[in-house]
Parts: sequence; structure tokens; C-alpha cells
Amino acid sequence: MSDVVFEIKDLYAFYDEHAALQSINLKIWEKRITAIMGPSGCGKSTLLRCLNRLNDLIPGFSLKGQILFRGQDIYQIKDLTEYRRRVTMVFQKPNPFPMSIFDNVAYGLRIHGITKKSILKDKVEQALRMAALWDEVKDKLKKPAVQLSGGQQQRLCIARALAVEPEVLLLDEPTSALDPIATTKIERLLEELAQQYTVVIVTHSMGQALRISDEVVFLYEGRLIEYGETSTIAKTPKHEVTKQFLTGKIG
Amino acid sequence: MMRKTVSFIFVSLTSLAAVIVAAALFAIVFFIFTESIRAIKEVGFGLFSPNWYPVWETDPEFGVGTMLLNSLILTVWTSVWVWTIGLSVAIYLHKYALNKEREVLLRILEYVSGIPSVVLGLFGVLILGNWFLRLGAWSAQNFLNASIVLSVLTLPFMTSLTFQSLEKVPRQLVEGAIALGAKDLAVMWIELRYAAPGIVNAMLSVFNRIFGETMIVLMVAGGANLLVRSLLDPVRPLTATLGSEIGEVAVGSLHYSALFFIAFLVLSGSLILNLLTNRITRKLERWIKG
Repeated sequence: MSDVVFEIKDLYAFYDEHAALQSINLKIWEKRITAIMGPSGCGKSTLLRCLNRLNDLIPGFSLKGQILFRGQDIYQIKDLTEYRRRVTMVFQKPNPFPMSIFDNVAYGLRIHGITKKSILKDKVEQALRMAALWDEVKDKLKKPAVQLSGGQQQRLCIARALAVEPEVLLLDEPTSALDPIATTKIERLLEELAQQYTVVIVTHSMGQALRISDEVVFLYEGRLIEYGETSTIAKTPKHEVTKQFLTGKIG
Repeated sequence: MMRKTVSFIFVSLTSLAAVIVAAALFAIVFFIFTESIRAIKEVGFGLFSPNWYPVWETDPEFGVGTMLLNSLILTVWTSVWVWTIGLSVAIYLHKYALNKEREVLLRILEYVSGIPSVVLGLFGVLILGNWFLRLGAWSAQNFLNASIVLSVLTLPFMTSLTFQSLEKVPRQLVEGAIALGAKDLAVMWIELRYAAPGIVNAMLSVFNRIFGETMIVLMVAGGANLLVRSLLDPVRPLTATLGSEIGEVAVGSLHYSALFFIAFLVLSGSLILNLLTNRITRKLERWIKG
């Protein structure tokens, strides 16, 4: 068994009065792909965004319980810049910045104080290679990022997140806006990345969770109903909702 | 069938409107240019000399050089202030202002932008002018006075347009930056990049508006055809000359033609600026829309 990266202890999350998450207890293991599943509105995005503390931005959001990252309570962290470098995030809709392909990948590096041209160049290339995008864009690094296709844009966003050399990659339904071919590419990529990184992915596709994840977490109406190794749960689901998910009745 | 007819009528009407507008623009340029031909022929490069004495009996002079320079200096100086202040206020409204604050400020800007320029001019003449005299300026109407009133005229436009462009920045871009660890300034950079076409558009429109504004400079700039040397000097921009003299000049005279030359300068300036604005905006949009 590998190390625990995240330990979530009795977590409640609220938007004003509404409890989006209730009493979540969960461990996320190093260098594995953990899929968070559940129907729309079950709180899976909320849970993911808590891990990066992105919900801090939302007025009315509050939280009870603890999220430990390698033993440290992340809601006690003062320097979020460094924390978010270690735990980065990729979103549902590709969100390339309005700048060149190169500058997109270099953005995170520059924030974290790397400004030397030669180092930037190396790191950008490295990140683009890891995201399996280098060959497609190496001749147009100065071109606007928005000119890429949707799938390429999403891989660019993954490259942008990888460039800062994180430990954890959070992905919020990264393929839901993409076609099947682009989806397959990204799934392959994630499997490769899991050899080096801890990957947490929110998905509403049972197929995707079965294909790529090692662990799966089922949420239903803000509560955790089942979690464990994907292969075990796929064979012997305990909860009724999980069964329905597996048989394709919902989801 | 019905649908086809309606759509045909609409297409024809819009095309007709477009043609009429284009023709009108062309006619205006043509008309102004032909009226100024006489001055161009008879005065030549003298049109750009510094002195403007159009009604001297013996040796009239028709040089617009000083006015042109004054116009440009006034426009650049004022624009830079309006850009800086407008951008700062817009950023404040977008990022830091409380909802109530934002509402009130935007409302005020809306009201100010509705004030006719002649009323603003009056404010410059009566109130600002008085203050200037008390503070020891030798002329109540002067460069700074005009600059302040022109700023009041254009600031609401600059601020609200910039603000709107910033508000249009998609949330997911901001979140994407924050999720990478970006702090305020780095996030702002992304937002400004995204809003750049709108902001540049606002900046150039402000410049154009100030360069072409007539009533205010006529009332508060001071009217002296001297190259500005201090902020408190009275000046006379191009448009003020045109506005004050065109009503009293003998039609068809050389003076008349020289005034049309001024109109031609102002018009070409604004047309070129418009073309430039389009160009730049479109270039910048490529980074956003792909």
C-alpha cells in the first residue's frame, strides 16, 4: 500500500445554509487514480474544489471538519500559492489563457518565480511532452492558444498544470466537453501520469471510472455511500445506488 | 413564401441603409475636401505655418500649425489622465468595490455621461475659471481648465466601457489562474489580457472624442493661438477655430476654404483613428476567440 496523500475527516461543506457535503471520511492514496462519481448535484465538484481550496472564493461557502494533505490541515495554510503549486487543477471546460501556447504553459512557472528564458523553455517543452501535445504544437508555440482544438486545449491545460511540477493533479470532468477521440487521448494520458502523480478525477461517466481509476468514490446527495478499489466495487457493489450506476440505470 | 418575402425585404432594407451611409460618408469627405482645395492651392505648405491671421487686410496668414500642435498636446495629455484614472477606477469597481459602492458609482457615471458638453463648458467657465483666477492664473480659460472639463466628459465612458470588458472575463479563466497559485496581480494580468480589445477600443475612442470635441474647448480653452508652454496658458485647438469662425466667414473666400481645410484635418484624423481602432481590436481579439 502506498502513502496517504489526502485524509478527509468528517467533512461538511455549506453554501450558505445548504449542506453540499455531509460527514465525508476518505483517504486518497499516492500515485493512484481516484475517481469521484455520482449524479449531478451530489457534491463531487464541491469535494474536488475543497482540495484546492478554490471554494474559498465563493461567497457564503463554509466548511467543517478537516482535510489533511500529508498530515497538514490545508485550511490552516497561509501561503496558498505554494500549496496550489503542489495541488493543481484542470477544469471541465478547457480554459486556455488569452496568450500564446508557450505563455500559457509558462504562466504557472512565472508565478512561482521562474523567469530565466532557457529554464522556461526546457520546462515548457517537458510539460508539453508529458501532456502528449509537444509534437502537435512545437512549430506554433507563439500562436494564440485558443486556436487549438478543444482536445488540444484541454491537454494544454493539463500541461499548464504539470509545468509547475505538482504532486497532485485534480481534474473536474476534464473530458465532458470533448469528443470520444479526444477523450480517449486524455484517458491514456492520465493513466501514464498516474505513474508519477496522484490523480483525482471527477467524472459522471461510469465507463471512464472503470477504464482508468484505481479507486472510486461514490457520492449521493452530499454523502459518501461507497468507496474502495474500483475492481472490487465493480464486482460487488454494496449500495443500491452504486448498483444502479454500474448497470447504467442512472449516470 | 411569406418568410422568403420578409427576409428579402429585410436584406434589401439593410443593404440600402448601408449604401446610404457609405455614400453619405464619402460625400462628406468629398465635399469638405473640394471646399479646401482653394486653400491648399493658394497657401500650400503655408497652411502648416504657426500663424493664423485670416482677416488681415494686407497680408493674411492661414497657418494651422500651432492649433494642430495644441490640439494634439491637449488630446494626448488629457487622454493619458483619463486612461489612467478610468482604468484604475474600473479595476477597483471590478475587483474590490462592495456591491452598494459599485451600484452608486456606476449610477453617477451614467448621469455624468448624459450631461451635454455645453453644460460642462459652462461649469468650466463659471466655476473652474473662477477658481483658477483666485489661484493666480492669468487667464480663467486655459489649457488645464479645458483638460479638466474634457476629462469629466470622457471619464464616464472610459470607466464604464473598461468595467464592462473586465466583467465579461469568464469565471473559469480567473479560477484557472487562481488554481495554479496566482495572486491578485497575476490574476489581473489574465483579466486585462482578456479585456484588452474592449479597453483599447475605449482608449482610442476617448482620444478621438477629445480630439474632435468642439464646444468645450471653444468655451474654456482660452482661444489664444499660442503654443502651450504652461498648464495655465490659454490655447486654441483646431476645432475651436473652426467652431468660432465658420459662422462669420464670407462663403467662398480663402478664409472659408482654409477653415474647410481644418475640417478636413479633423475628419481625416478621426477616420484614421477609427480604422486603427478596428485593426488593433481585431488583432487583439485573435487571442481570445481563436
